[in-house]
Amino acid sequence: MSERRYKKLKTAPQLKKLLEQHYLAAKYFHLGKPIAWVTSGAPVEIVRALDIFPVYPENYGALCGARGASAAMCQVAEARVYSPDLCAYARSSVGMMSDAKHAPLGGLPRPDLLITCGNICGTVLKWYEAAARHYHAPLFILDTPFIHADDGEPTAHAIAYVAAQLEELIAFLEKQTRRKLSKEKLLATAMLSSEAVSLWCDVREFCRARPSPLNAPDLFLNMAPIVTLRGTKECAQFYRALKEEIAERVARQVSALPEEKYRLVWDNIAIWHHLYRFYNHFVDYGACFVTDTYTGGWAMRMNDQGDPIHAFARTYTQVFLNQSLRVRVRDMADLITRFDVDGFVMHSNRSCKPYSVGQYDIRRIVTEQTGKPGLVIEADHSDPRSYDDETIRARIQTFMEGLR
Amino acid sequence: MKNKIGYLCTYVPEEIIHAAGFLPVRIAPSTTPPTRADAHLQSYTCCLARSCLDQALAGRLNDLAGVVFAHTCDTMQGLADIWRESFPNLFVETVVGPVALNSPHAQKYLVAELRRFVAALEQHFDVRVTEDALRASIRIYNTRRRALADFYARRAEFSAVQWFNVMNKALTTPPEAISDRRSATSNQQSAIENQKSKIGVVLVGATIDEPTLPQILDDLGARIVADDFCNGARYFDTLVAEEGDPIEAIAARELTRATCPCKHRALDDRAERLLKLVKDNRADGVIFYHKKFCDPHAWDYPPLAAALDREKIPHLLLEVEQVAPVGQTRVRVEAFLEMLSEG
Ligand code: SF4
Ligand code: SF4
Repeated sequence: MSERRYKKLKTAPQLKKLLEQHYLAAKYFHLGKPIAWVTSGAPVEIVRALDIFPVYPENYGALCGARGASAAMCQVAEARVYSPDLCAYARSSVGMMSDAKHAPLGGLPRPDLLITCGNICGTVLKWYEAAARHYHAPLFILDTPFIHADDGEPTAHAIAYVAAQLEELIAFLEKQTRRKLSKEKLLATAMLSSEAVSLWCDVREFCRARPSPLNAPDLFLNMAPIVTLRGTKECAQFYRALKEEIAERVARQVSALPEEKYRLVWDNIAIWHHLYRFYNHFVDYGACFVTDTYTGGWAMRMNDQGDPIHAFARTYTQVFLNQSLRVRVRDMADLITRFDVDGFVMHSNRSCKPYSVGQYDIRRIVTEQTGKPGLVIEADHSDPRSYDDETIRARIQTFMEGLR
Repeated sequence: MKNKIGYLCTYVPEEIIHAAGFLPVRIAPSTTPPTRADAHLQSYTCCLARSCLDQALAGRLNDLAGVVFAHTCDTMQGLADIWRESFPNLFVETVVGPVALNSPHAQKYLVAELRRFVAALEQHFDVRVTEDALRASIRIYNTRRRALADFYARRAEFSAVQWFNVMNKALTTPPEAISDRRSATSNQQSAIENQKSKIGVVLVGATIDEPTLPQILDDLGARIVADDFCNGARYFDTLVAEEGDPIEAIAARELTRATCPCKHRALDDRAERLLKLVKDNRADGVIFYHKKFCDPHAWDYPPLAAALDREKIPHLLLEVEQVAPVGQTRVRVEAFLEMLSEG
């Protein structure tokens, strides 16, 4: 396995510990709290406020990818007639369900409840249906209508629909836990969540500095608590420490790379199985990914004004994977200008169709609008079997030489 | 003025388009390999998306005044936006219906979304969609659905290719053209009794768009006794109520018609329906006719296959890119049918 070739963070051990504790707690120390499997885009604040322990199969999918365990887990699913063309996070999860013994960390804990939110893709519906059949656990579907509008605004009826379902979700969870949701606790959780998210936004904004204090893999790794722990004190605490460290790097003009010669934007989920090797190909050219479209996906902010259910409905319906191609173009062009980059790289991720379908058009339009070149790389975020390092390196070489 | 509006998926409310003065026509994938679509859609998207876009880019859909999408799968969702970028002057809309059909709020939401769609049509084309026009369109489409159901009830008299032709013609012709079983089969040669047909199969999949498989079934003497295609029985299996508010009625039908795997009504309703289709029609087996890279159907295959296994109902999976490869498909279907006739 390749090593990273850019600066380590002092907070890295803290991050490692935080995530280890999370998985340990999920498995052994959830202290009688019911376990809910939730999707990355589910309104976890409601879940936490009811003292339910949320577990993230998508994050587990990334973990399988990073530990090189995806292919084996996917093969288990494929032997059970799941198509190899399905999302590899979901496939490895299905593999884990039927063969937890051989899965990393001995598999995820069995869910008491399943909550799937369609704001990221259609896969999570089917994936959670499969989990519901396997574990005979009750399934709640939060249906967040896709936004095709150019301005990214959901329709009023979509918001009303989502808000009504959130009330229903609360009733469902109250019934399952035989507990009443305390509005104060919900608000407090939402505020903790917002705090972490805005600290994380600040960290990402720091990368506008030249040289950038972070490279994309740092962003990918440090995003994990936002996904799996938002709404907890530990999470906010971690981001305070991280922000402090990055602020210091910026003040002292510490660069993530040995020497930053080029600045790039990354689009789509990380290539977990070749995390260092892949991004090192860019380090070879002194190219730093100073920002990306992915780790900002959780950059939603709640506020304490108005009805919290309404705020949740809006926030969770507007996540970027629930937005049209035009909004994606707008966001990418915005990153290009604000982070002052030389070009962008798009990972056409055969696992993730909602993120990838449309990328060819986005690339063309963004280049037309900004004059910055874009490279598309065909790969998969967690299944390494279709990854071809030689071809990819050749494509990167051509692209980087074009930038000179 | 162009008077046709295209759609790809039968969740698009054709009555509304019709009531606005347009003829809704289904855009179906062709048998020509796509070339132009490669610049827009990755190789891991289904042939339905790629072929339909390809035809549009080749100028073969220039007689359409617009294209309307229904929210279904991730590929279709992306395709709708790509279509809009490729044809900026065309009316391109998506009706974003609910996914959770079992939600107590789905009907109210869908009604509002359909009214938004009505308003979008009215505004873009400067037309009025009146309640009377909607009611008239609902009646016309119900008549067509009844005629297809009636034809279907007697499909034993027809070959599989005839069945295919009737179903595929239906969704591209004016609805008035099919008002009873006779008109449904008007372009078919005499409806000869299909003597050889002994084995009955149920076909399952997204859509069926070219007659290779029906032809093979005919050649081998098997009958299609039921299907679960978007452009098959799922299209006509439920009618729109002719009383009450027409938009509410259209919404109600969308929520109650046989479920597409992109939607959720209950965990096992597709499996239950499939078992019922097999039993009611005394089918000998099931053929899954899937498109490569079609996620929703690929996801439903393992539980459906397991449900069939539990009931000891034999099944076969055919995964097709665009046109079923004749030789290979024939060999596999033949082996399957032999197994059925021995069973
Ligand atoms: S399809 Fe994409 S968004 Fe959905 S679970 Fe897989 S990686 Fe995540
Ligand atoms: S449901 Fe399947 S066949 Fe239909 S557009 Fe989506 S992927 Fe293609």
